[in-house]
Amino acid sequence: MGEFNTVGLEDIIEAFSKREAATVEAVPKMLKAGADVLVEAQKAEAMAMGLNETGGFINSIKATDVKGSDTEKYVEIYPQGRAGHGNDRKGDKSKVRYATIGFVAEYGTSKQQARPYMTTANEKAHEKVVEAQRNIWESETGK
Amino acid sequence: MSIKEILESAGLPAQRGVYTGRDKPDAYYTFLRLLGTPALNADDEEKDSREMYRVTLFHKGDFEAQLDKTKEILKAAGVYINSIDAESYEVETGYWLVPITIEILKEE
Repeated sequence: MGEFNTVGLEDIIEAFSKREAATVEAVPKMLKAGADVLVEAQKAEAMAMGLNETGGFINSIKATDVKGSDTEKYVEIYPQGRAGHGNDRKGDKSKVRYATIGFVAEYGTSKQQARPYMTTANEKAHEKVVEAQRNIWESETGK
Repeated sequence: MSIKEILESAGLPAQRGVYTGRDKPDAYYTFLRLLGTPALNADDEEKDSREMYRVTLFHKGDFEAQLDKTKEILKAAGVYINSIDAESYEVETGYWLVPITIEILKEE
């Protein structure tokens, strides 16, 4: 029966282990750094599209904490919380969710032109988000 | 061919922004340019440009066949479909809304 020997395999295993530990540390920081950039971009775009009638909507655009499992991490960015008013036109007194306001702004209705602040901001900020994440990766892993 | 002409070749009227016609049809498109960026620069000049649009199919009924037709005519016109986003239903009017994000590359 044939056999083979390896030299230096332990070093490679150790290097991979170190890289894995660095990645576990770096990924949540990368997500937060990217989210900070994207939140500001979405706020700026919402402002530019006139979605600042009260200021509440713009301030509601936030990132969640880092979520996920050991193998997958993510953050969500969306308008969070509720406005201090309902849909007055429909006589609805319940406080409307900022996410609903954002959805209507993003996609419009048959009577209201869309103001797609989110798609536009995401597209404009794409490279800046990647750059912010890369900076964290490089500082955390020394690469 | 303009985006309006491309969409209307699928047999429905198309209007920028919001549909303002007096008699609103049971199905129509709206479109809106979101972004225009240079795609290629050479000799300090913009050679190609990239435009992103949000197209929305409004439809009072089963829109699947029209959506297929829309995708077909967009692809035939060389338009890139980035995404077909979540459809929603307007209870007040009976319209289904189907947002489609597209990109057009233009050579100067």
